Amino acid sequence: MWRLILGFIGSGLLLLVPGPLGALVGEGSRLAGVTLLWLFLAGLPGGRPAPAALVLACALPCLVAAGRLDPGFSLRVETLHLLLGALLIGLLAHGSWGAQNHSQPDRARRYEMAWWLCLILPQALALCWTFGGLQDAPLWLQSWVRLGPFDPFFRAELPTGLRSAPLLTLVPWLLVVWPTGDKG
Amino acid sequence: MRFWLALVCCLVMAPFEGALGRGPAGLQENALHHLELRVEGPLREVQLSCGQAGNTIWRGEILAGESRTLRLPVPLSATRRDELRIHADGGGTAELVGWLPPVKTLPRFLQSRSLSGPVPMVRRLGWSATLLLAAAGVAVLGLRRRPGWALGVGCLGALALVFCPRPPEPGGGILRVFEGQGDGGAPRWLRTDAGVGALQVDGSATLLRVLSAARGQVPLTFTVEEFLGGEDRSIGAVAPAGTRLAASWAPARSFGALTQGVQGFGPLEQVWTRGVGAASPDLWVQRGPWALGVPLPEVQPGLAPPGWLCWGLPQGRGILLARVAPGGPGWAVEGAVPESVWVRLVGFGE
Repeated sequence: MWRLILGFIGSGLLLLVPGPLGALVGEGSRLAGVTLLWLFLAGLPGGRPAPAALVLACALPCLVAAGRLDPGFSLRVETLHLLLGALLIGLLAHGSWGAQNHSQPDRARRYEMAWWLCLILPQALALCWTFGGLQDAPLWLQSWVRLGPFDPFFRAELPTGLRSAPLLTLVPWLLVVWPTGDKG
Repeated sequence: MRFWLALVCCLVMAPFEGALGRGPAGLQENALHHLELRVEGPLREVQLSCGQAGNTIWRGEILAGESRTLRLPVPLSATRRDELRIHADGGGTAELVGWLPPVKTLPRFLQSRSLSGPVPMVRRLGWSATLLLAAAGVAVLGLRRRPGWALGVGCLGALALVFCPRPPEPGGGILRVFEGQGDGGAPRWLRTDAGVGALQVDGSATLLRVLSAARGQVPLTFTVEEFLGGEDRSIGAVAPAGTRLAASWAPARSFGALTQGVQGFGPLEQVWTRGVGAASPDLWVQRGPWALGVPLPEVQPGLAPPGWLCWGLPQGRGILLARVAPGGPGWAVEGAVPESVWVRLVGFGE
């Protein structure tokens, strides 16, 4: 429950507060900022995660409201980003819920490792890259950082097509989280 | 096992992602190139499609039997000439002669100077959308014990937000900077206009920069309207909303002297200097307003100049930064009325 309330409060701040806080995620990329916030909250390991449907129900109106504030992107690109963001949020919420609500320590551990390695680490590197000048890092590292779902969200503007990192991020996530062998 | 498979997949795909992704944005690079087009009438419009780089539209009147060579701006360099497609409207023909040699891009003294451009106006969500969002949130949280119902309500709320009327688009202003470089003699001046989304560029402009840190190619549309065949024309440059553009060119008019002893430039609303007179060479000092025809005012307590204006300026040089008073140089020139006009002169008082 607290995740949902935090999500609403955070989204509200990003949507309604102009200036430095509202512009924290870049010029006009509120959709990216709100998506990022819900990705964090939806997938956070531990605690008592809400069902994926409930998380999506909360996140969807916030994402659409954020999309209204982003200038300069066509409906197609905006819709694709919105759908992709919703898919990732749902996937993460499902993974977090599944890991926590089934007494399978192995699954929970795997989920946590995936969380750290596929999401948090690339995201932290993307943050350093954007604000700390990681442009001089080796190309393979830059590519890996861009593979994380959050790199575009820390850019000043959203990428203009589907050929961006979030799509590829789905692949490891599908392999890790999709319940092909696990119960639940 | 699946986790390690995923990790390997992640690392293996990384280089491909790099290949799939678009190249760097090319910030601060010149996006304004020129080519020559041989046209034969009758023609009313020529479109130059430049692929992902954007396009150029020329509108004018070329009569039947008339033949001319047009010099047009394109957002594409000669190295990517294969992407160019020419479409002539009106029955005549248009044929590429070739790209004009690239002009010297960024003047050396401009390379180290920052320009943020005007800040895009903040968009507002609007009262109706805010209330709708709040209502959807309350309803979803109220239905938290029935996730299926909650999802339905959330989707409905999202759909209602899609169709909720949008507040009007905020427009951005034009920010104008006169960049001066004095190396012993009279300063050399460049005028830079920066705008958000759209910019009216002087026909003599040789430099157009995309200031927004967008990923990938920013498509630009140049429009040239030429109905009387005059050479004194301006170019309309349009980029996706929110993109900040800056165009630079040498101003046609000359400016009055701007030295410590006399001020012939124009009324300056606020002046800052560094490395001038007895003041500490490393510190910015405010000197207040500077009227025409009087010597440089004394130092007075006040705020530092705007960060974007003083960032990246050379050390060890006398520098003057100023905001031009409304009605001064830069305010009365053709085109859109600027949001503010600034002067940045390196080599002041030397």
